[in-house]
Amino acid sequence: MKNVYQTVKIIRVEKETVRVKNFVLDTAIKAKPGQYVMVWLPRLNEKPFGIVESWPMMLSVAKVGPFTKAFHQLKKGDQLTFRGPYGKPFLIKKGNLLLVAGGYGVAPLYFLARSLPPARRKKLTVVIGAKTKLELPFVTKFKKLGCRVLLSTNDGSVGFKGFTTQLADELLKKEKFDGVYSCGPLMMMKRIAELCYRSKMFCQVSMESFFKCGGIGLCGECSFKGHLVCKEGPVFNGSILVD
Amino acid sequence: MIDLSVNLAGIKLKNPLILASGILGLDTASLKRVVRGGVGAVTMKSLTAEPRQGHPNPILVEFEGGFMNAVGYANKGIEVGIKEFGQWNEEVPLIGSIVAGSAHEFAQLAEKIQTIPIRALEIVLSCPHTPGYGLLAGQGTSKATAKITKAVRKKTKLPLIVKLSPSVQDIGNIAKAAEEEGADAINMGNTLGPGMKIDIERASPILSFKIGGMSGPAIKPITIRSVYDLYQAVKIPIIATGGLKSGADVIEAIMAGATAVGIGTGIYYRGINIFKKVCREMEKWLVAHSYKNLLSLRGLAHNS
Repeated sequence: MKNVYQTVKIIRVEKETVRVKNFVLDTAIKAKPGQYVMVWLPRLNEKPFGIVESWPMMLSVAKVGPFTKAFHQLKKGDQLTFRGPYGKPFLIKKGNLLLVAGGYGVAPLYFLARSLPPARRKKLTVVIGAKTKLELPFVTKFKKLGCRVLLSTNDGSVGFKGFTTQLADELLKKEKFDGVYSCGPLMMMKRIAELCYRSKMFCQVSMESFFKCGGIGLCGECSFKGHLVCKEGPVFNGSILVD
Repeated sequence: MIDLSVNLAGIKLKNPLILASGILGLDTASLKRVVRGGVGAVTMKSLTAEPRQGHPNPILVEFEGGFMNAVGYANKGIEVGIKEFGQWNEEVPLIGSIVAGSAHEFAQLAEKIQTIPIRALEIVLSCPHTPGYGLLAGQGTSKATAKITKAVRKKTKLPLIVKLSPSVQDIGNIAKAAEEEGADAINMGNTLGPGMKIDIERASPILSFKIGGMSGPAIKPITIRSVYDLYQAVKIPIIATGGLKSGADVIEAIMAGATAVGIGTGIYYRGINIFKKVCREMEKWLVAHSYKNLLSLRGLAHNS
């Protein structure tokens, strides 16, 4: 039986931004960057969360609805129940990599950066975008890893004023990358995928979808153009978003 | 040359394998992938009169012998469904599937859905986990089955399949009631149960609806026995559904009396190409045992 629930204790809760909290758990998980777990809050619901760190396991949760609101109320010492890991991980290329994150889409990309040896982390360029300075997650964490971090905000409160896609477009014109990885709003990933497709650059996106059976691949709820996001994704080659 | 084709109530299937309702059947793109997996016919996920959210998660949980589900008929409703499946253009037949709370509502849905290119219509009277539908609406009796079958029969000329529950004692009489009111085939059957799984760390049933229908290998013997019983009770063809996932399983069901076989949870164990794999396994067995087709196996176990 593969789909078994585990219940562990929360050992630390960190405030990441005004909307995002990180939950550090009293467990390690054998997982690869891009994979996720299904978190079950009994009598409420069950939702997917990208794995941010594997040892100790950490999840990053943005407050966006009733489920994540309840999640945010959990404290150090409380129980957390999940199953997984599920999903296809990123295929990590050698050389210079560009990571493009929209808001809390940053979580799986941070796991990708963390999984690389220190020397390779320095070859990473990370673009993080959000509406305002207050909502930019993981900036300090990426800087601590030694990555080059570029920021964009819609209101210009910090970094480039505009969208991550504009910043990425400029970078792709000026510099050479061996792989581009993106996670965030669908329209952002679509634009990134199109830019890479045109310049024949390797690109992967991590898709978000509503999950029901979540990782089992039977219900079909998460079908995207006939691809099961929960099982065959969430990481896909960017071409899935290019029409 | 081995012939796996079967005639199911007038529909010719290239092989006896049918994608069971509720598995990957929400959109055409997913069904087309199942077609490429080698299936003989596909069934859409059951449509209701109005869109339904279904139960909150978890809606599916694994146990030692398979899975339990309580999806609660999450679907976008008949109007959206008709648009989604209206352009079906594959050679592999599409079977329409509807569920409703009353005979009247079933008849209305049947009238609407027959406008799209489905080759048969399945009415499901046997869901064990959705209030207002199936077993929880009292549809698992001979009387209710007769009434609903009759109402739907009046509205459509399509081959009509009635999907029954393995969880009731009286299946022979229920199937007879469906046959008498004009059903063309019986699907035997829906998930078994309901059952329950409790997480002991959280002291809570895992499924949000607490109870769910069981599928997977654990229920195979019940499917075989139910089909065996029905083969003696009715003359119309039987689709065996529940826990079947190999060529040997399908041959066993056919020997019990099935004409065709539904596969659902098997996709978890063997992937979307399970249909191709099962066909190859059946061909191998037929060759090894000097059979040329499946018809010669049907009901064979009744001779012993």
